[in-house]
Amino acid sequence: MGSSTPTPAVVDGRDLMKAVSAGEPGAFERLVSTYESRIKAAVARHIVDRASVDDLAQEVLLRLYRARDRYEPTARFETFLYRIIFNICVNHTQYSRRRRHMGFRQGAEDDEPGVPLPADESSLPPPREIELGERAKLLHSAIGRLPDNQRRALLLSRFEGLAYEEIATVMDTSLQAVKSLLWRARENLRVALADRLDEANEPTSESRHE
Amino acid sequence: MNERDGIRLLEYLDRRLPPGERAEVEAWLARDPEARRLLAEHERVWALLGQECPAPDVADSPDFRARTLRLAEQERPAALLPFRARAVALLAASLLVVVVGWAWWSASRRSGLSESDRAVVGQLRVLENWDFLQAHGRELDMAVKAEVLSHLAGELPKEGPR
Repeated sequence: MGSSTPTPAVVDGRDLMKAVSAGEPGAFERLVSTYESRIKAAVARHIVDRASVDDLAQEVLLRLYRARDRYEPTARFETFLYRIIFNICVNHTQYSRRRRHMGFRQGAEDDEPGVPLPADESSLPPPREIELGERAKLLHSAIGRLPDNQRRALLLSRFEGLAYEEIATVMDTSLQAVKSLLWRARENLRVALADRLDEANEPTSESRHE
Repeated sequence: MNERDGIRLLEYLDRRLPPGERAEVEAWLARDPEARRLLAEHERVWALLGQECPAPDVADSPDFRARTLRLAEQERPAALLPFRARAVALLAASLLVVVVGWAWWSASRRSGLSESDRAVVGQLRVLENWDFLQAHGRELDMAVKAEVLSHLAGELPKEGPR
């Protein structure tokens, strides 16, 4: 660490993490460079306040660093990484909500699973400072209203590209529960959007499922 | 649609079904227009998620990287010991604190006196007998004196004060 090695010899996450575990000079720096934007993007999708993205992404990387002695490269590195991201984001969301509720509803218990976020608190904030089209607004709002676990499973599946089994590991739940969450999330979105998408003032483009 | 059929449709959409089951779902779709409509809507919403929710605009930053590396560097000394070794060291330190604390507590309970005070108390009877002999020695006849001296000798500690 500290020494600058701009050309990474290895790009596989497992190899990078093994190099960090072995105390190889510059390995952690390579890991940070390789995963910085990916971690920031994942964090930005899972939390509401964009101001905390850098802090949480940094916490993810530091947890990776602290876990280097315990890391066992049995699973895909991304599963290990997203588990850390997921836990940090869930804790952050719960903490933020608790703080907000303490402010407005003194003594109220919070964080029942599945408490939907208000429509303006979608975990998919506008990616850029542009005005969203009607269709995008509908979509963001519908995602924001999904129960927490459904939304998280959907984000991991659609945007992080994790397989069902990996989502189960990340969310610490069963494969069947993941399938159920994903189905309900997608069905809720369909019900919320199906009729209204045609009313939105943008042309739609049919595209095949990936 | 019930959840069981819904999950089957989900796995079909995500191309997770083996060929045999995939053919079964396709046969179901061929004879059920409602299922086809549902499938088309799901495909549309899924595609829209990709179109309307692009990756958040997060940029790599040299400052972020430098800060993260600096923080990791600061954690290094504490993390030099492997996790298990740190756990064992912590346990040993806790045990040592408990043992030393217990020893100190039991010693202070046994007596509130210092070592020199305890030596004086141990010799109290001897000193009383000695004072008696000094005060009344002249008045006593030899037999009594001898008896007092004999008591005194018996009460003297054999190996110094306790």
